[in-house]
Amino acid sequence: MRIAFASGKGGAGKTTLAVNLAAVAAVRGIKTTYSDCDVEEPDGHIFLHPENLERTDVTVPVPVVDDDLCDGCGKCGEICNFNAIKVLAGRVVSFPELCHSCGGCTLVCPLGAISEIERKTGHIATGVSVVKSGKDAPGRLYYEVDECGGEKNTKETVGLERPGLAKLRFTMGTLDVGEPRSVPIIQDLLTMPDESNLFIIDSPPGTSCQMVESVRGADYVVLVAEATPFGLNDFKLAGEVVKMFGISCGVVLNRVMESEASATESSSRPAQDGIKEFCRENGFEVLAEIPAIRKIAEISSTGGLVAFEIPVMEQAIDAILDRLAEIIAG
Amino acid sequence: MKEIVVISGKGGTGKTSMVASFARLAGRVVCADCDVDAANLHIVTKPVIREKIEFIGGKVAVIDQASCTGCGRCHEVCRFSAVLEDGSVYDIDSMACEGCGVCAEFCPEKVITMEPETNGEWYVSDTDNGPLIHARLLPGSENSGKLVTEVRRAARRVAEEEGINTIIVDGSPGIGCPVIASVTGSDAVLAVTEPSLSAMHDVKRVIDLARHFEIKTLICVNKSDINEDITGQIREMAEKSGIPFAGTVRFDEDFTKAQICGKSISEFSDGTAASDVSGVWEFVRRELGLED
Ligand code: SF4
Ligand code: SF4
Ligand code: SF4
Ligand code: SF4
Repeated sequence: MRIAFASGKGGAGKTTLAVNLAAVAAVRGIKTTYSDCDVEEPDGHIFLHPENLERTDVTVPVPVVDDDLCDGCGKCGEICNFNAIKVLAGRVVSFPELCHSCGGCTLVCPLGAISEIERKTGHIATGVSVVKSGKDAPGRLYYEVDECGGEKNTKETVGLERPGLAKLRFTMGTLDVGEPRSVPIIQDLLTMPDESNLFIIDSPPGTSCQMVESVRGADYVVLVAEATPFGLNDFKLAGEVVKMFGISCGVVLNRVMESEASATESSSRPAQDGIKEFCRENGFEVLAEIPAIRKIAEISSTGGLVAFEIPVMEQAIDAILDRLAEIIAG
Repeated sequence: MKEIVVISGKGGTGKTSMVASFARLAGRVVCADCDVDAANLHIVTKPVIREKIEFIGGKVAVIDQASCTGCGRCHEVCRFSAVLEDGSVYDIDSMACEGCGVCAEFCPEKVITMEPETNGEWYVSDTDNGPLIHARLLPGSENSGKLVTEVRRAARRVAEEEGINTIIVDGSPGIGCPVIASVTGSDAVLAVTEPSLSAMHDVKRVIDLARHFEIKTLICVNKSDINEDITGQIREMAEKSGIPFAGTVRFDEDFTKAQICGKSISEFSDGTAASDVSGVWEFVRRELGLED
């Protein structure tokens, strides 16, 4: 089962949710892979601390011209739709960073003067993450969070009994700085052989090609939406993409903020309602609602896994995982 | 004319609210929303649309089924698995098509045409603080980098026409094609980050990017008091790398509340975050050498 976590924009809480879900799934004994497809800014490793990472370069083919064979006919420049190869003053000049590796120039050259070389644009890495949870987690405290979003430190470990250690497979892709094209790296990541039962895809944010590439092969998409006007706007855009592919979709409402004093002026109610309405209209299921709690931001800021520290997060992750299990079971 | 691009590595750092505040603090400016995937600046600047332009980003292959002989040559040459094969019927998956035109070139019957593809639209609008250029990329579209370039070009043109000497760009996230298109050729980049290990990791990559393209970079930390330790580390990292530190903005619920009311933080409140934001803008203004 491939589950993609996506959001219309970064910062909605997608990675937080994806890494925590992966960790909890592993602790539950599910054979899990976490795959960080946000290759422009991969962050999952900060939370999952993968060990023994093995790196493989990602390369794309780009043309090289043999000047001795080339007669400057200009055919290669004509076919290239991306201005990546041009004939200037009888000589071929290529701009490899603009090349989309379509292979057209090589095929079209009448003199066989063009061949292709592999050019590195990034790398993928695979390793193993060891998740420490429950009472065995060193230095971890649980925080009780009261209804209003305030918190008190309980020192006592609360939450479910969990086994101490669990392993999951960790994979990530990284785009080299200065390279424009993320898609080939995502393709390499998603076509690696994998034997897990739960394959979690941490998608790039947005709605363009790299997000599309990472959700198109998923069995289910979890959209993370922040309950603010920006969040509503971004969520709808991502929702449109998911609809286009006809993939089943669940939604997690994040940072739900209630303000009693000025319920109309500054509560997140209208954005929440907007998100829920979109879900109703499009058959998306609301999987969980997570309140805006400063502690979640604080723990996440240091790379901590909130599912093992904050009861509301633990409950939310458990609920999502249960629901996903039902969906898998059909 | 000076053009400053505000970027953040990843979304959600409060970048857009800050851009809207800067616009307000600066008086009359041209703003450009280059986060074309998930544009948000219009939510807080309430633009009145003046002009709407269709964005033709690229091309997509179309097979004339009636004349196709089903030879399969197009399927062979397409490297993007965009030619679907169903028995002897071939068709283009327009979502996967990169518009390279290789199939059209090699179709022996010449029955494939490359059709222009509408990928979105962009607008020139008016706001209280001056013109705003913003765009909408159709969901799932490619060519976001090209659209960013169009938006920035329009911003320059409008600034020239109306004699405005400052352009503030709300940049795209990430380090890939849209952000490269957002920053190249600008006068400076302001990287907005948060005090978390992941945001710090992200911002290092955007700083490398700015350095790669040799653009002057400034840095500021939003929600700085969520983790003072990491804020300190970011400041230190900036100082060591010779990157001017433009200041910090403390965590303030007003930030979200302002957004919920559709306002920039400077417009909504005069609390801590609002005064911190004006401090950052003052710094940026001085670094850029903007006159009053
Ligand atoms: S098509 Fe071949 S021969 Fe013609 S200019 Fe290009 S490389 Fe040279
Ligand atoms: S491979 Fe395609 S994109 Fe690259 S230079 Fe050749 S024709 Fe242009
Ligand atoms: S234009 Fe290029 S990508 Fe599109 S179908 Fe033809 S060969 Fe494939
Ligand atoms: S190459 Fe042309 S004729 Fe052959 S299958 Fe493709 S479209 Fe049809």
